Amino acid sequence: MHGTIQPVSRLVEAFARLPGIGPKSAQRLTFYLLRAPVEASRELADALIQMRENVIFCSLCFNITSEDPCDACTDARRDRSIICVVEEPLDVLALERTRGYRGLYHVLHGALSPIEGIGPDDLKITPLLARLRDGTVKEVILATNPNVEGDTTAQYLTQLIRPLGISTSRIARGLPVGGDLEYADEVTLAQAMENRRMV
Amino acid sequence: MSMHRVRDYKTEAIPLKRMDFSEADRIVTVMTPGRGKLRLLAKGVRRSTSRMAGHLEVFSHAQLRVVGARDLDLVVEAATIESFRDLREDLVRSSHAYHLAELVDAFVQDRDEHRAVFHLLRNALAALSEGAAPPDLIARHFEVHFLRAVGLGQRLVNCVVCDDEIVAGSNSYSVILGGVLCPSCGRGEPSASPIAVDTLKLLRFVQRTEMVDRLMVRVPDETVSDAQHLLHKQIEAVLERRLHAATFVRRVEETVARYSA
Repeated sequence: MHGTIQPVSRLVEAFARLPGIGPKSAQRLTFYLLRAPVEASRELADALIQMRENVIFCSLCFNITSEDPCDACTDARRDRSIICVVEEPLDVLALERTRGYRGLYHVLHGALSPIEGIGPDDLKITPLLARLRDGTVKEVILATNPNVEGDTTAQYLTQLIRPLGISTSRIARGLPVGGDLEYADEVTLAQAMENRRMV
Repeated sequence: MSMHRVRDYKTEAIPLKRMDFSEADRIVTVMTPGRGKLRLLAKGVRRSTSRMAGHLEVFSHAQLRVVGARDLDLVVEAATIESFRDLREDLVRSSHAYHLAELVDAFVQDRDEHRAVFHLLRNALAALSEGAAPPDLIARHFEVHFLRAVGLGQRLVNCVVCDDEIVAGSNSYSVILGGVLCPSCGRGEPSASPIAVDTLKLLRFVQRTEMVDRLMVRVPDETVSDAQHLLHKQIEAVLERRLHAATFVRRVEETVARYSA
């Protein structure tokens, strides 16, 4: 950044490398911290270091955790016969907020995206199949995102899981709460009709 | 010279790929008939209540209203024309669709009008969705006609070096020269490798068959596989890189074959 002293430009560049943050946002964040009390910067720096040093991936489900195995994998109250497969750790948080699921998880760390060169070997598929081979799991819920990449991933996993004699299910899809029938695309609407429930 | 940018326009489009952007937005790369390939910003489409998200799924044919902006034009309305739902729900067919999308994305430049490519892609996706022909034959048909549309058409009837008519015999094919060589020219060309009579027949049949739904023919798997190998070698030679989605197609076909055996 021309005309700016080095520590400032270094932080601007560091912010600008983050996803979703452009050069202008990076400048705004930097100058906010410059004006804020020094404690704000210390806290941010400390949180960043702590996060990197203390957060690891669970060796069973590959969710983020501070201890391995993670709380969910060691929780005796959880149903060990069901595994819910998701794309990202954030998806686990979203499902946990529902308080409606008490089984285990498996985080793939992405979805198949053949056009970008992301194939099966780039996801945590092999460890998932290893977890399924000990006979404990009776059902796998495929909760990858309801888009073409998520569907491709779910279909690919189904091909691999079915021969193990474990039932696979795909999360239901339909109209969102607060949505508008008029604007729904035909695939969502058709699936909402197919998966309708008696009331 | 900067192209004149219209402020507000409507276009048909087929989304090829998407990239998450900012909090809830996506950058969608689409193929259009009149404006070539476009990178468009679709705001809020990662939210479950988005009115546009379902209409901007990859491999669907949609009508868009777009507003021109300084960097990325903004999608303000989207409506599905054809969702090709059956394609999306089948792993083998969708893996081929990724391959077609990768080719279009790799060869077509931003804002470079290419009506023929758009219609080839639309027809191939429709054929995959309807099961109008075996998926691998649809993909080969797309590749042959796509190469021709982008100016890299294969020469399959006359020798690519001496122009003599090719007759059945020990002919060869050069992925660098993009065509068949007669036995005498083939001997002196380092990039030439032998081509089987049936593979050449299949390529010629596919090249002269304009309509993809006329491909309902019985062809031995090895012949289709030979044609695929040759076409992919040629495409990779032009792109100077490996084809990602083609690797996935092979992986899917192997997985399906292994578990259905």
